[in-house]
This record gives sequence, structure tokens and C-alpha cells, in this order.
Amino acid sequence: MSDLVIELDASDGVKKLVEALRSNPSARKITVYVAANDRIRSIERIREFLVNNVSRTIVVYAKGGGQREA
Amino acid sequence: MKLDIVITSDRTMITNHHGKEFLGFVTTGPPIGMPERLWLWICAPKPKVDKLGRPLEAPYGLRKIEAALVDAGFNAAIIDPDHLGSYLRHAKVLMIGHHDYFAMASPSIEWWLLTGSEPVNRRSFIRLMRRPEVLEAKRRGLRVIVGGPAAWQWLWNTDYWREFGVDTVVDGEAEKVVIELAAKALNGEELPLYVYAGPDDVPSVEEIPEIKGASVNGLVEIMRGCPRGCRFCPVTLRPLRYYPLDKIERELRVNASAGLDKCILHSEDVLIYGARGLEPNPDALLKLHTLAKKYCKTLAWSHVTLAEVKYSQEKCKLITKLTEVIYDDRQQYLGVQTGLETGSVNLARKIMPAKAAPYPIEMWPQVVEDAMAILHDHRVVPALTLILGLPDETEDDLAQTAELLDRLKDYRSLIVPMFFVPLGALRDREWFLREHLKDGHIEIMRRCLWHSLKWAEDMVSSFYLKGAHYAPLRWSLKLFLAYVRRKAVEVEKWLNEGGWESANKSVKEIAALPRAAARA
Repeated sequence: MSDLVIELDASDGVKKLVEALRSNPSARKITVYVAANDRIRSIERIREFLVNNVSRTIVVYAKGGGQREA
Repeated sequence: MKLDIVITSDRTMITNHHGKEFLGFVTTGPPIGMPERLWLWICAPKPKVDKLGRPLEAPYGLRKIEAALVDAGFNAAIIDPDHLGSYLRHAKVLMIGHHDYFAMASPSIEWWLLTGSEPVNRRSFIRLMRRPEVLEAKRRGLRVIVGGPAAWQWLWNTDYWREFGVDTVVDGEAEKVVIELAAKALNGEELPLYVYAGPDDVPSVEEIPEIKGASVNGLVEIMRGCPRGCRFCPVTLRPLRYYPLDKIERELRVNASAGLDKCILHSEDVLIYGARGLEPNPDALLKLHTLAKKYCKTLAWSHVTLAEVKYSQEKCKLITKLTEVIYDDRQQYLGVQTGLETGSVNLARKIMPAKAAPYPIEMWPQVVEDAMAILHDHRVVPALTLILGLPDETEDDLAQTAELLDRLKDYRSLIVPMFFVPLGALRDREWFLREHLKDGHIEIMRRCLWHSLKWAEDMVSSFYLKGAHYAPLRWSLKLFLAYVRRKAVEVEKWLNEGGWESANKSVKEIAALPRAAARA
């Protein structure tokens, strides 16, 4: 069992996330930093992945932090 | 009093439903045949609060979060939504939980799709988030963390996520992760947008905190998880944990000391409390019920499975023994929710292969009928749910479900058809929407409507809501049921005249609004 940290830049697709998990099948906790032009867009970029995840702990941060919605 | 962390929800959640848990289902519908205020009074009256605006009874899930935070040393409490204003002037964090934020779960989505009108739970939640005191606090930097069993709905409602300025969505059992989130929020650190607590991050029994204040209608958890592994259910993904009796007793005592004389034992299947696999443990169950009756005049079960009803009664007359403990001069019947899901063996084999266990899945329709007879004979009134639009469903599957419904007509029960919502291991499957309705679905809904109406009228006339203090509510419900009967006759006539076929031609237009909401 291990933790995995993945960064998704603006040009990266969800594929990068899926491949990282495939390479680390024992990872039980995944922290994902997602770049996007607003915080919630970070979620929208990986929504399908999040919807389908049932077996691992996932923590998602907006990459770059700070830009909070009004 | 000032709080660092305020925990709340909207009125459809912060209520005791007049002490009648079944009325909570009414919050899932749009107001039909009456003004919304009257509808809300029927299903979600304002609860008693103390002088600080703390509800006497609050949803059990919120009580668990409150307990986790208080145990960890945070200054947190549940506050009634009508008393938020003064607290939000000082609070740094607002935590909100809900069963169905956006009316996307069943049966809310079904009533919405069928009527084209938003259910009151959704309306009420959106109103809460748009209140001036919430908006003002948000402008001052309030951190907003949302969670609960409907947390998944935020993934499909990102526009509302933006509008309401939600900082973090927590999906799954949150008692452990909420501590770290609270500390980060109070320290002004960056919060994650989303946390899904997977099976390795759920609390053990010892780590599950005990409630500090009373829960709605005295609900207490007796276990978590379910071993049946039905593919449409998210609960089955979590590990099985039984609460020891002393832990249950401490929570019963909290409710009793707040003046509650009733309780709901909560489990996905009360009858497997303390079981080895699916083998019932009569000793543990009898001790549990004897303990609960020590603190409560009346008792209810949240859920049982029909297979366990049949097996435990045939093996050791367990339903008879338990009802002998439960029934006395203050309680003569028992309510419970249970899943019928489908009358089709083929479909059952695909989506819930262990649902009939220890009987083979081929016996599922017989298991349902036998269990219903046992419940009826013991004055246990089940609210059954069945699922329409399961993946790979065929006309033949629907015909078998309709046939099974006919076999159940003499058993006192409510049967509620629900549209398939992709959850659990079926999270990636298609939503079932109004435009997918076939004649077979309509026939099942028609049979469920007449069955439930007949037995609802019987229950309201004979034993439900007895006593002078329930008279206004009883008469409101009688009027509502009379209205439903009148409308049902009209719908029946409309269906017989081919109304559905002609309506179906333009159904894509009619369904546009709910579809957009469901798919965001």
C-alpha cells in the first residue's frame, strides 16, 4: 500500500492519471494537483475519473492553489 | 455563544418529520396539489431548538461529524438553518451535509422527471445557500465544506459548486478526514477541492465517534457496511463493522436524556447484526432489541433484506421472537425499508447475485413473496423499493417484476419504483431518464401506485398517526391521498386512451430540463 502524487498540467489528459495508477496498482491514496483556469474547472477536467473511482482515497487540489472562486 | 465551525443543512434535513420517518420521503417530491409551505409543514416542520438555536434532534450523520470535531477539541455545533445569522458573523467554517442536495437520487429524480417540477429538497437547499447571511459570510472568507451521502452530486453540479463558493466536497465516511480539513480551514491553509475517503480511510468501530446530541427520531447506528455486494449500492463497497452493545447503549442514552422515547436501529440489514456472514445471530439481536426497548417506547428498523427475513424466521423463528420483544401496549406495528429491486431472476443474477442468499438467486421471487407474508403476519410494514432502468434490463425482466407485484397485493406495504441512478460498482453506467420509459415501466409504476395508495389509505385510517395531536396532519394526509386517487383515475383513463404513446413522441422536449440537471 502506498501514496501517489500526480500533477496534471494544462496540456495533460486524464490518460496520464490512469496510466500512473496502472503503473502503481498498490497505491491506495492518490493526491492529484490539477491545473486549470479556475478551481472548479480542475474538477471538471477529471470528473469522469472521479465518478468512476470507488476503491481508492482521492484528494484533489487545484494546481497553483490560491485562485478561489468568489 | 460563538462557534468556529457551524454545521447545518436546509429545512428538509433539519426536522424530525413530525416524529414519523416515512414522512421524510415526502421531502423528495415537488409540492403537488398544495402550496409549498403546506407541503413543507407536512414533511419537514421546524424542529424544537434550544435558546442558542441548536436543534434538539439533528440528522445522525451531522451528529457524527459534530462528535468527531468536538472530540478532537474543535469549537463546533449543529445550528438550525433559521439561526445561522449570528453564528456566521464569527464562524470560520460552515459544514453542510445532505441526503440529496440536488434531487438527483431516487426517488427525488423520478418525481422530478415525471412531473417536470423541482422537488422541495433541492429547492430548499438552493434557497439556503443563497441566503444573505451565507453570501455575506462567504464574502468575509467563510470556508464551506460539504459532504454526506449525496456528496457525489456536486461532481455533476459544478455550476452550483462555483456559485456557492464551496471550498471542499467530501465523499464517503468523513469522521477521520474531517479533522484534518477542519484544522487546515481554521489555519487558513489551502483546502483540497475534493476528498473521496476510500475503504482504507474509513474509521474502525473504535474510531467512530459517539453522538453528543440527540438524533432525528432517535436513530442509532448498529453497524456499517453490508456483505451482499449488490452492484448498484455504494454501501457494499465499505468494510463491515458491528457496533458493540455498550457503544449502542451510550447513544441510546444520549437520545433518551434529550427526552426521545423512540429509536430507529440503523443498518443496511438489521437482521445480520452480529452475524457470521449471513448466518443470523439470534442472541445478539435479542440482546440488542431488549436493550433498545429499555430506552424507547417504540422502535423501528431502518432496513432489512427480504432474504434474511425469510431465512431467520424459517431457521429460528427470529421475526416472531423479535416482535415479541418489540410489541407491547405502546407499539403494535413496526416500519422498515427494504429492497425488492427486480422480480427478474436474470437481472437479479447480474446485479445482485447474493441478494437472495443463503437461497439461490433463482428463488428470488419466491424469497420476496415468502418474506412479505412473514412481515405481514407480524405487522411489520415495509416500504419496498424497486429499480426501473437497470443496465441490460429487457421487456421480459419488466414483465416478471409486474407479475411479482401481483403476487404481493395482499401484503400491507408501500412499493416505490425508483429510476436507476448509477452508483456503487455501476457508477459508470447510463442514467435512466424519462425518455427511456417503455410500456413495461409504465405498467409497473401503475401497479405500484394502486398498491401503495390502497395500503396508505388503510394505514392512515387504521393505525398511522393516531392521537389528537396528529389530527391536523392525519387529515392533511387523507386529503392528499384523496387528491392522488382522483389524479390516478385521470392518469389511468389517459393511459387507456393512448395518452402515453402520443406524449412519448415529444418526450425529448419535456425531459430536457431534468436531463440537463442529471447530466450537468
